[in-house]
Amino acid sequence: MPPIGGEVPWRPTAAHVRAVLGGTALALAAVLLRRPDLLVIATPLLVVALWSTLTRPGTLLSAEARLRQTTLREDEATTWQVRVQLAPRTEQVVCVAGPSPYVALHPASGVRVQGVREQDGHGHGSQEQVAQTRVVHGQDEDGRFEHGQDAHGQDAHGQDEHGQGDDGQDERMAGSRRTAVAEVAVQSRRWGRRAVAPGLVAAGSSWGAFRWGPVELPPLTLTTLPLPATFDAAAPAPHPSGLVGLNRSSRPGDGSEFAGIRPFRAGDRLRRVHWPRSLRTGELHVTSTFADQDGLVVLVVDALSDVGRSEGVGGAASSLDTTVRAAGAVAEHHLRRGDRVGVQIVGTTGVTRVPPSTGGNHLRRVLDTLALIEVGTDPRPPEARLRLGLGADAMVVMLSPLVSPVALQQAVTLARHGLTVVVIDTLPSDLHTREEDELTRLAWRIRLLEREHEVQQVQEAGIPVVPWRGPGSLDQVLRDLGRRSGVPRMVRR
Amino acid sequence: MSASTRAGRVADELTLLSGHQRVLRLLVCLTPPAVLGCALLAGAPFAWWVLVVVVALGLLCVAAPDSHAVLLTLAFLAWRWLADVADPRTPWVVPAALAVLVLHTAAAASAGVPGSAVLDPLIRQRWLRRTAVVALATVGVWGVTAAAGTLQPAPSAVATLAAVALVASVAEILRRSGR
Repeated sequence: MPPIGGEVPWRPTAAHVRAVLGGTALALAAVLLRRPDLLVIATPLLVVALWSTLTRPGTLLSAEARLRQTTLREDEATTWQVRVQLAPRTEQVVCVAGPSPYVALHPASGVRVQGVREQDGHGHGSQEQVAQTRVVHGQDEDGRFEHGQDAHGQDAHGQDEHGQGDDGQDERMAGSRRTAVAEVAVQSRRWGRRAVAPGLVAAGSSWGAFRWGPVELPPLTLTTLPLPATFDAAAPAPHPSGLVGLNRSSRPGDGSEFAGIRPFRAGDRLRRVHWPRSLRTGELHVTSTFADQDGLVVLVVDALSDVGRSEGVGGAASSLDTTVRAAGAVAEHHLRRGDRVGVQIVGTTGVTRVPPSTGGNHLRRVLDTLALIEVGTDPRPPEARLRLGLGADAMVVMLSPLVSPVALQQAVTLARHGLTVVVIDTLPSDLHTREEDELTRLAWRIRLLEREHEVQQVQEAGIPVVPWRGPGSLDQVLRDLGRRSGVPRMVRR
Repeated sequence: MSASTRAGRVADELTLLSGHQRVLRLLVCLTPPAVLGCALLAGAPFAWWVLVVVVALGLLCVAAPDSHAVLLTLAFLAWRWLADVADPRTPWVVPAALAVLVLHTAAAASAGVPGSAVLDPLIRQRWLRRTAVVALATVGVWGVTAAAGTLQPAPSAVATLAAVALVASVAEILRRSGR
């Protein structure tokens, strides 16, 4: 972002007008009315006015703002930095970070006031080249702020590329003009991409007589990755089919899961020979194993609606909060097991599909995509939104609050095409309407009853619907699906 | 914006003041009555309406330190001093002038930063040091006027203007030495 505010002049403040007018008027009155007491009263104003005029900053300032990290995880913090190219005789810099939804500032007011130390005895910046000059240790009413880590695990306490600390205030030389850096800590409380810290910056001269600004700083974009909820599942994926992974295959092969002991055949590895059995029987026997295979898990995220109130991480979660964090948790779990994970988001614009893949980088890709969800922004009809193009070996995990019947219709459609579908219900359990209108409350109750009936119908169609409960949410369902996977099914192709 | 909305906004701002700002606003609120008190001690007659106006102006300055309310307050105080204090060589003019200095300085410092701002030590020390320097200059000018009153020189506008020029010169010297 280019520096701004270079055209903003220094303007006299009400304080300077007061000192000049008040001092001059009192001095004139003292002279004309022969009242030395008025001259004494005028003295402080006259001295201040004269002092302020003699130390008026001559050149213009410019400022720029940036975020030290532009991508965080929920509950992590970074710093909003404002760099001001100082003019000689600038005495203080004030920056204010504006409030943003789901963003906590520290100090809570978002205000930083930095005093600028004089460089020499005449109020001019020294021409001496000084690489870095720490001047003021930042303090605020709450003490020092604990920075978190950025999305890459980098400690935000560390110094940045300019060697600046995290005390919120700094001053350094750049050529003949010094730069003041003021920082406000920014902590993101909810996943998503949003504009943060539309701020203001101003500077003042001695006695507060002249002011530069306040200049409006543009908002900066901060992307917050969802913090995956805690999740674990002991049950394997129902249809493992790939070549790598931790799921036990239904077929024997090279793996780690014991299958049995059988006579040696050509091609068996010598390290597989089971010597005790071979010695007893007088014939070579080998240990056979099941192959370790990966599964394909596709997460279908329902972003058609967001029900409930979101208070950010640690507070009440809306349905979309639960959906996104649960999707991140399920993706993380399966990727760690070596499964391939894909994501399809319904109801949002932009990136709506992440092709199936594996690995840690893929988890970051999944979280990045989840962070970009904008609820209910896809104008396409519901039937046009879901195009998975998957084989029958895939397991589809649909995460939805099931408020709209569209999600359940999609689940039934996928199941009829032979896919294994599990629906995770992410509607908050403690959801209550706060509407005062009796009709609205009645309508919501009716909708919940309809929803209950629809869920029952879907379950009768063979699609398990489980509420999100964190670890173990899917264990029983996945075991049942694993047992059912060997049974012939009738599907619509 | 309606008057009630504006009043509510000002009240909200006052409740969110930082500790430093509260001290500054308290000084802004207390110094106008202090000047009035000095006038009373210097022989001015007491009048309820003057006290009410001064307190009201003080509260106005607290609510809006970055406005010309402080200039209005100073003008009113100077007018009442001129009208009510008969002795132009009263020593109570020194605390009155110092109260004016504190009023101006506190209002300027308060107006320069947002209400919730916490001033860093460098700024606080700088304001305190400079205020002390100007206070010394004020006492010095009072000493000159008192000495002139004792010596009873003939009234001379030229001498007064020369004194003003002297004050200006002293201010520049003090500015260079006081930062």
